[in-house]
Amino acid sequence: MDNKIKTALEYIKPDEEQKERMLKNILENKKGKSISIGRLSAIAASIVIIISSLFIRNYMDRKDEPPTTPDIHTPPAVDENLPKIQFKLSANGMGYFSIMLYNREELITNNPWSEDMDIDTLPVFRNTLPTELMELDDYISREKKDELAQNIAKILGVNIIETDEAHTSYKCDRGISISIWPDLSASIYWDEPVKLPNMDIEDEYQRQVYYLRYYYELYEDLFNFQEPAFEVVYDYSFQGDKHYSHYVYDKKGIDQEKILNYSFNRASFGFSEETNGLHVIHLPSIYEYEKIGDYPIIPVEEAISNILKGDYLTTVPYDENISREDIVKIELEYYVSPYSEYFQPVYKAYIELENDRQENGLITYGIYYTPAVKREYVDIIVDEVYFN
Amino acid sequence: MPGNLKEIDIEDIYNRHVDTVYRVCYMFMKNRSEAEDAVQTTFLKLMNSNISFKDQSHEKAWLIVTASNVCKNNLKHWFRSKRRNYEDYINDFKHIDTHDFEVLEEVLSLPTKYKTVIYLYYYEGYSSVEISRTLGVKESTIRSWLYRGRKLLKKSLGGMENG
Repeated sequence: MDNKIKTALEYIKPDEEQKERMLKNILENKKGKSISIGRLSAIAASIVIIISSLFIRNYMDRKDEPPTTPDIHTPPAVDENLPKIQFKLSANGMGYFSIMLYNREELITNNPWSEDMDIDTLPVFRNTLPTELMELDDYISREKKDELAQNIAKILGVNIIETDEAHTSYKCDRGISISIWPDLSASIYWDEPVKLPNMDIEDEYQRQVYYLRYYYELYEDLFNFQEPAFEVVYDYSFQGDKHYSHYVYDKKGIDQEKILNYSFNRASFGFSEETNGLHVIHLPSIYEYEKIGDYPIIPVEEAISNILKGDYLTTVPYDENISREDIVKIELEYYVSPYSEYFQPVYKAYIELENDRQENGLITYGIYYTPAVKREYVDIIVDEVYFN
Repeated sequence: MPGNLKEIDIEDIYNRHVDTVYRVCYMFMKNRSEAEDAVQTTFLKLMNSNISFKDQSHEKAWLIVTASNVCKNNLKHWFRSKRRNYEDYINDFKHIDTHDFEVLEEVLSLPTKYKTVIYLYYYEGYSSVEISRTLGVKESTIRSWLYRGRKLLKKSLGGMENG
């Protein structure tokens, strides 16, 4: 293999004319002449991007200074003054994070992250919303909540006819109500489900994807997605009843933007064949959290190695002796909980639990988290967690 | 005044490494004019730095890493405004053997991190330890990336492993 690769790469070289032109430009630039057209294009493009997206702008600030010694590379673009953050789980006592499936092949997600991505840094955000429920309820002004509810109602073509005292629930005409949550996410409820479309797809999973696309297209004005990606996941109850969840997010842009959108800008659609229709859409939060900085990210191999060393957080109550084979799936996403101080990227691993198998064949896959931020910038805080 | 390197030093370094820097840049940008632009930016960074190299291998490693970083940033800047012109890409290599072109195309199509380690390993002859030091990534990770890069190449160029 090596000879073929080397031979092929030999073809990549500048001709003499290119070499002379580049050298001339370089030396002229040293003397203060104008920079090349290509550089100007890059600057112009960056201006467009800065206007178009806050998230993307953050990646433009990356420094790329090279190593100063031959054998030590300075990792990219890390602000030396980044504050240390903490990672802790925010369990609220309702069981433990896991899903039940009959086999690992059923564990399907549509996370845009893949280990082939070249992710050097990702932003970490501070949750500036109060974590106490009482404070949270009054944190966002009623005017702001009214405005959001009005916007949603306008897109749906309905009128708000009644609002509760706390301005969290807005009853509209045509059997619709809107809830505005303290983080400025929203839910739209239909008194009568919006009927499923007719079709003749035999495969149950593919039918769910079809329905999701149908409902998304029906209400796509609610979203500003340029490249919608559809995610249908499912798990089973103890009795073996299958429950589907349906999500749509925007898969546009660079890898970092996709990851951010998957975690922060994902809508959920509630429908089922049993109810013959759509009864709720949950819209993602539009609250702007405070960005702390761009933190260096460890590769997935290191994350796996950390998990195998026991360097993780989980709400699984069993002492599992985790081996590489038990890690059924691992993916990078943000840990987003209203009780967390930081919203940070984590590796989320699904571990097959030997201690929790049902008689009907269902296997429990426990969820284990390990920070994706390089460990020198993050402390893992182990809290005592209680279960029902 | 930024930089300690004299014009003559720059020319010497340029002549020694321009082929390498261009090759790295082309692997990322896959386009002559964008590769040229990245080469120029890389050498301008050199001119504006205060670096003094210990030897020529240090010089080369610095330029490879700098060129990679320049290209990564450029790709992020351009992701919306520019699309690779496939015809240009074909024209750049219209004179080469069909099989070599296939290999080249597959290598250039690899995800960035695999492409970089494949280049450093197979073309520059760096060991996984040297690549680890140069890129600042754990050696086990480099070995994993090499493995996955090779696997992707074998998949797309079936039978290549015998070559």
